[in-house]
Amino acid sequence: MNNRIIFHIDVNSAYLSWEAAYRLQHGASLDLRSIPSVVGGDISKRHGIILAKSIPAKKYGIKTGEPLLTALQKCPSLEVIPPNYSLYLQCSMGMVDILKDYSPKIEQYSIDECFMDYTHMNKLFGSPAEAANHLRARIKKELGFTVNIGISSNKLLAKMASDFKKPDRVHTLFTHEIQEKMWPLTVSDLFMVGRATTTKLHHLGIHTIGELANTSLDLLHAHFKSHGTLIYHYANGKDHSQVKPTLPKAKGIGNSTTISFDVEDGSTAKLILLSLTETVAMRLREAKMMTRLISVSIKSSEFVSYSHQKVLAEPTDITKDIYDTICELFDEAWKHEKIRHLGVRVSSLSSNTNLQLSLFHYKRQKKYTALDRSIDKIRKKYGKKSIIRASFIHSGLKPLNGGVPEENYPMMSSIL
Amino acid sequence: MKVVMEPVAMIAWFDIRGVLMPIRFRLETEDHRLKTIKIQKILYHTEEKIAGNPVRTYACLIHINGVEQHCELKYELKTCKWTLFKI
Repeated sequence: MNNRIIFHIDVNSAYLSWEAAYRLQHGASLDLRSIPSVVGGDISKRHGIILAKSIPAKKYGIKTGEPLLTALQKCPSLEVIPPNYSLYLQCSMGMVDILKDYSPKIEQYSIDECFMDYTHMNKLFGSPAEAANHLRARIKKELGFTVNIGISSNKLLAKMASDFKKPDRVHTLFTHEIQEKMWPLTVSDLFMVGRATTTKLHHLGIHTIGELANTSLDLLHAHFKSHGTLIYHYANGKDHSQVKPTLPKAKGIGNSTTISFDVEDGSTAKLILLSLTETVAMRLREAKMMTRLISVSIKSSEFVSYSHQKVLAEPTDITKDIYDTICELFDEAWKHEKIRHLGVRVSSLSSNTNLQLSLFHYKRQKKYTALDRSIDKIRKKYGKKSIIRASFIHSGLKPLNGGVPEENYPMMSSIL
Repeated sequence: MKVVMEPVAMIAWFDIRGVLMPIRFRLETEDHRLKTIKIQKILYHTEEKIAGNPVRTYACLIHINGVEQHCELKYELKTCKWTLFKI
């Protein structure tokens, strides 16, 4: 366990690099990475946040996740590029294909990050540093974008290492280097320490990772419970998670959307919830699962979020049943303020192959299951919008909502 | 040579090993006339997959109005489109 070698490969400003490489391949004379440029959504639809930025854009103080409008104020000549998820998927797959030449144990952690287990591979490709440099150069030459590679003895440290200095670098962070390389960093740089935790840690007088590592575990546990134990171990470079070549099973399925206008009436909100439910229920049936726990989340135009959930008497995968529960939950939860963001989520999943049939609703369920199955088949064959609910006609709303436009798009997870 | 990135219609052949070679292509000139150009010789060909997108590049020798010129043709595998990349 202790002498594992783990690589963390992280694409430098992924979305932007990929777009730049693609444009260069198609004869563009200008490299987007050399000018202030960002990948961001459509301002008019309020999906206007920065998804990725070039290094020159960073010099203007533009941050990932900030609204496009404020970014344009900081740099009026900013080049804004719309996202292209199928290109990202293609680039990501190209990278994984190259990684497979080096090790069989690869975990695609998100679209632009991979973990690779390089333990006992020295005889094939040389020392870890040699192999990493070779890999970095090969990705740059063959795929046209740069990556940072972090090398260490576990996933957490490898991930921290790849974040050091960008772009196009290889960094190591082994246990004996923690004190020198990781402890001076600010505590917010640590994986799993987000905005809320950072503020709380600052109140406790903890500002660097080193200070966190040397705080007593009891104190952290008292303030943060199990999360305190987790970040304490992370600050000390302790992590025993394995490189998992296949994704762990989903605990729940959910979709959410930011609406392009503020929703003020319940009926519009329910239509949007219906469009989200359609997507969620289809995904649920695709996964051959049933749900028992349904929740709805609402974010108001004042950015106040809350959610409400309900446990069902029996598991279901029927769109109508899920939607009825969603409406019920929405009516109970909504405080009649303007809505900016809506989400639908189902969890407490179980397999749909063996299930307890209901004595009272058996006939009705059978009918609805058959209906859903037919709709799914039609949508699979003729496209998702081939059959839609009549309530969406002339409503100006999307009949199916939520999710990234591509199938198989690997989403970021917070679990190593 | 200059990058032109002009889409072209192409006649090409595949040999039994699956190697693809261009024979002649047609493009629209500035005065909107179609012009067919025969490939005299293929100097070399390479395959790249920048951004995970496989593209084959052919460096060719062609005659235009009796003048011998070099050009670079590209074939994008995913879309099956040919382009006159550089001339």
